[in-house]
Amino acid sequence: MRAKWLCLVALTAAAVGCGQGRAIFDIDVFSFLRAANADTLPYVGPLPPGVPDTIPSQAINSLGIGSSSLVDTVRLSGAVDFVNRSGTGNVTFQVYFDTARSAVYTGTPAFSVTGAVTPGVTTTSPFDIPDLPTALKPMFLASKVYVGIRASAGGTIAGTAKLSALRARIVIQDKFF
Amino acid sequence: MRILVVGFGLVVLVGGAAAPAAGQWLVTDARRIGMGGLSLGRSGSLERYNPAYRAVDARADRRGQPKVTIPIPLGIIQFLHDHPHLSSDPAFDPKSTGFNPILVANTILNLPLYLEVKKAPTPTNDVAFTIGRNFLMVNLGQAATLVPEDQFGISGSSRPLDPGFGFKGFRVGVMGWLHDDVAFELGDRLLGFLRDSQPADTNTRYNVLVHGLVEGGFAPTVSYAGRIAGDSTHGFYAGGAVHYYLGLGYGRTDGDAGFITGDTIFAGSNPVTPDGRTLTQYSKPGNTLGHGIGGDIGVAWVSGPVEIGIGVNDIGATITWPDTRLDSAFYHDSTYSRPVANHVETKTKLPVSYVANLAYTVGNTTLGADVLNTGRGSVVHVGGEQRVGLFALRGGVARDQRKRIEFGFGGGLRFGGLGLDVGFWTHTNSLSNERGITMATSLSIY
Repeated sequence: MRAKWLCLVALTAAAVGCGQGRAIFDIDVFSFLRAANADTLPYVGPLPPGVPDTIPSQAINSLGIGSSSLVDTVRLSGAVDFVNRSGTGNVTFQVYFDTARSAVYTGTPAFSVTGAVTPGVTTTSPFDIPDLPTALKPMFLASKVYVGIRASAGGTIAGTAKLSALRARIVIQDKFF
Repeated sequence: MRILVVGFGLVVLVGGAAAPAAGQWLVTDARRIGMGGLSLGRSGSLERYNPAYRAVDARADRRGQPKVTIPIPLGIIQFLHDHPHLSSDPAFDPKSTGFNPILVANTILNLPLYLEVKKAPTPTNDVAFTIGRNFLMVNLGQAATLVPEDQFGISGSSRPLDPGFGFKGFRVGVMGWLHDDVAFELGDRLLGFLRDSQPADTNTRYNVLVHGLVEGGFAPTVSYAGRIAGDSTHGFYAGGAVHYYLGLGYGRTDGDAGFITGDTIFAGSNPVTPDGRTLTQYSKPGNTLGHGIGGDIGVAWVSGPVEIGIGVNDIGATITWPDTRLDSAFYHDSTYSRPVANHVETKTKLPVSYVANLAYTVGNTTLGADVLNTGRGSVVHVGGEQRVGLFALRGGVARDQRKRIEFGFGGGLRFGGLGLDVGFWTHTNSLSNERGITMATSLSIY
């Protein structure tokens, strides 16, 4: 159920109004992750055996308008804070998307952010991905998209990666139904 | 989901465009189109809505009124040229990624009988949706003005068959009648959400009021039309008809459908609850016939160059349905349906339609105006025709049921008993406030 009712209203409105214009969906992905306490991920390097470097994949409500629409652009922007406790090195923060929960971490990440960290210092790494790879775009048409985060430490370091913002701006061409 | 979206979206489209379609532009006569839809003499709406006009001389030679008009649907040629393989055209195939419901809706609402000289542009502004876990806002931009603030819908009252015979102005016949009325009205919250870009609220109900009615039957009719005073050049005509309506069947539903948001817009196990209720009434064919009495009256006055007429239809036409079933239905998490009553008496009412017209003819010039109301707003036409030898020039203005002004202009060429007419008219649709121009052509036999 979830987003379907709102998509119905939104698409009805779009049907009335969009004509040859575009529909732009600005989704605050961070608000979904924060509510699930999935916006924070500890990192440690080298990674001990049995310690995960990912969060459980989280569901976010997406457009749910079917595969006949054409996704023009998926722009992702936001920022991640690397709160480093010890060590010096690099932390790679990766974000994954998929429409199947089980497949979130099996593919390539949608994008990566790398921050150089030093002991006791919080490093903020903003990111702005102008457009996702074409192969990833159609999945945002589904009603539900699963998002996953992986933090990989390069060097002997430990800390926490905290997502402070993540927005997806999805531009749909006029092929709604 | 997809079906719901298409269905509801198209209902909005149909509703938005229904008014001009029902009230104005179902015209195949290029002469009328050239005069902005104006009806003259016994043409168009006058004889249908004014029973006195059955007795008024058509005076073909004075007004250039043809006996027969044959439309030339150039638009179909254009349409088939644009879509040569309709059965496999992706734009018309819902299963195709190229399916374009906007095109389909526009094709249905503006049947391609006429040649599109200038297409009505559709809005090209972007539509923005802002979505968060507890936030949803829609900004339709300029297109928000197309979201109807008031009730919108389709309504029609027609008489598809009217066989009969007459003698000295009297006529006995059996008239078929059909009445349909579909209306929607957005609730204040939904209106604000769509039209004013108000963010969605939690624990709030968003709703649409829905009304639908269709009924039909036949009506034995006795009518009279004749000249009460004067002669063919200066005469007063009156007409009237009494109908005994017999209803074969009807169905009516009045509902309130919507949804209630939860504590959080996009979270929780059940963030939104569909919520609806309807009362459905129907009398199926085979049940006891509905019955009622109503009538039409009309007068027309012709005095030299001036012609004035007023006609009113379906006066007092209340149909009593003695064998009606009433069911109520609720939806809230799941469906509940409950019979309310059966074999009870209900009543429906046919809308009163009226037409008023004025025509003035001097020399080769004819000017006219008419007002037609079929129960859902008035349509006004003002136009004229100037004949110059073999040629005729025409122009007119119309105000449709949405109170939009449209323009018509055109001309004609007549060779003896055969004429070729061309009419241009501007039109708007529910997707745009800008006008397109369509060209209609027809052959006339005098």
